[in-house]
Amino acid sequence: MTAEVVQAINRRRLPGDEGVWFFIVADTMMFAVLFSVFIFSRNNAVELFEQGRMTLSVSVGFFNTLILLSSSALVALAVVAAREGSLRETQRYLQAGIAIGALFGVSKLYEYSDKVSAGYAINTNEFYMYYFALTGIHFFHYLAGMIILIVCLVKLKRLSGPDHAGYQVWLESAGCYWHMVDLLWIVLFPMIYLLQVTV
Amino acid sequence: MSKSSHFKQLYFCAWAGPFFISTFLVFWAFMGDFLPPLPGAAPIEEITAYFRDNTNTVRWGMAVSMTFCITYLVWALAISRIMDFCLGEVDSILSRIQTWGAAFTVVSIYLNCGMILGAAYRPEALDGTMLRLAYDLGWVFLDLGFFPTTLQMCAMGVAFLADPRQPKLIPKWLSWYGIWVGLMFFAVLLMPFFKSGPFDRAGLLNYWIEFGIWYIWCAVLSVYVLKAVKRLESESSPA
Amino acid sequence: MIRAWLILVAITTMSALFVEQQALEQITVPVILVLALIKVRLIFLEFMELRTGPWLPRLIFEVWAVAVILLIMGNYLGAYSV
Repeated sequence: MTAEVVQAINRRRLPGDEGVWFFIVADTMMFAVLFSVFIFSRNNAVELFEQGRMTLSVSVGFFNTLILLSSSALVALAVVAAREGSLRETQRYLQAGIAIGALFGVSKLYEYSDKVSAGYAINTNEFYMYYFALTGIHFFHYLAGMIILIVCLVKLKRLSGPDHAGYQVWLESAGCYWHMVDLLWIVLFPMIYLLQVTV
Repeated sequence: MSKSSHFKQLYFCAWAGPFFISTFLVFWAFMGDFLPPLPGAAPIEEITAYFRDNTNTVRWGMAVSMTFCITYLVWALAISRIMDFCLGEVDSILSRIQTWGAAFTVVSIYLNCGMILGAAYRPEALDGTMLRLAYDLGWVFLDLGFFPTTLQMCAMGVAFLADPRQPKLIPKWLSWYGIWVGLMFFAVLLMPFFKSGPFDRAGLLNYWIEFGIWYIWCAVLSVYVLKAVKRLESESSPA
Repeated sequence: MIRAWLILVAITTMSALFVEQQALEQITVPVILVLALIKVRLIFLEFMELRTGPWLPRLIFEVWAVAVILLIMGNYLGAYSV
């Protein structure tokens, strides 16, 4: 009984590096500020924001959500596999996670070029300012996440010997960052693409 | 060089941090009236009034800021030394990146102050558009000169995190906080496109948040730098 | 993990159907936001492993998620009356 309790307490651990968690929390707080700024500006110009929103493609947005969720799940599976010591599986999950994650970049670049060729730019109006800035800042986080995941893959291939505690911390930290990118999109997407005015 | 004079110099450099932070606040922020600066959309009369009504305050503020902003680099030299202790190397590449990053940060402060000071030299003889150009340029140099600072902050974060000591000379969370602040600066890339709103040079994100988190970082790190020098001194002296 | 992923995909599909089906206009946005809240919680509880993690980060994310969703929902309901 007591041994089990002790074990349960020991299991209450944060995946990855606690310093990275400081980064993640700071970043999510920053996004909360950005969301608030968007919401308050929208309140002052509901019609303008609604007109802008109508020009966005909702189905592409849902597709992007599915991409990020699946990529996140694969990276989470990679973390579990590494914890259990099966590095071959880790590699496969990680590769799949990166491959699916890359689709988000393709789809986002297509979306941006579509908007730009339709004549919308960051200084078109307030809605597009937020659309480009918020999704752009998110996209930046996405790019950083992709690079970190690729670094994890390279590090995995160079791993030698059975002791990979250090690598585990790397992978878990990268994974948590990647899930944060996913999590932020889950809020960003309905806020910008779906928040409609129904009269 | 003897050990004690080595640490005397290191203390001198470490104290340059608090010195920079306070002179920057008083002479640049308060006397330069940059809390916050005039937004991009400010009417031209406001810009001319800024230069013509507070001429001497602005002159003193900018002149003293220009004189002492090099203390940021002096402080960075102490940081570089601590980084070398963390890495167990002498004159590491990371500490060089950090030093150079700090040097170029100082350059953008020079340019910012210089532009404002140039316009405050004879504001009565310059028309409004000229004064506005000087003000705009000053802020373009300061904001868009962010990347050396980003490099500086990331390089020191990496070095501090590599410290094998337990506990580390600089705490982990502060290293990550610095890296985060450095990367947040990328948002100022949006500044040239806006004259109002959160991404304007005086806006919520690109002024209040960016400068706020950077200033907090400076203040907190300067305390930990002093602590680290103290620890290194006691480590090096035989008990 | 796979269970969490299946639930997330199911919820996303559900909200996509909700958006397509404009019949339930007035409740669409609150429903979508509640679904988003469930998704956000699943991500930080399962993927980021905060269900088995220490209490502080979990508390931060719980409060963050509810606050952000309420903020957006409040704006929607407020804007609706405009």
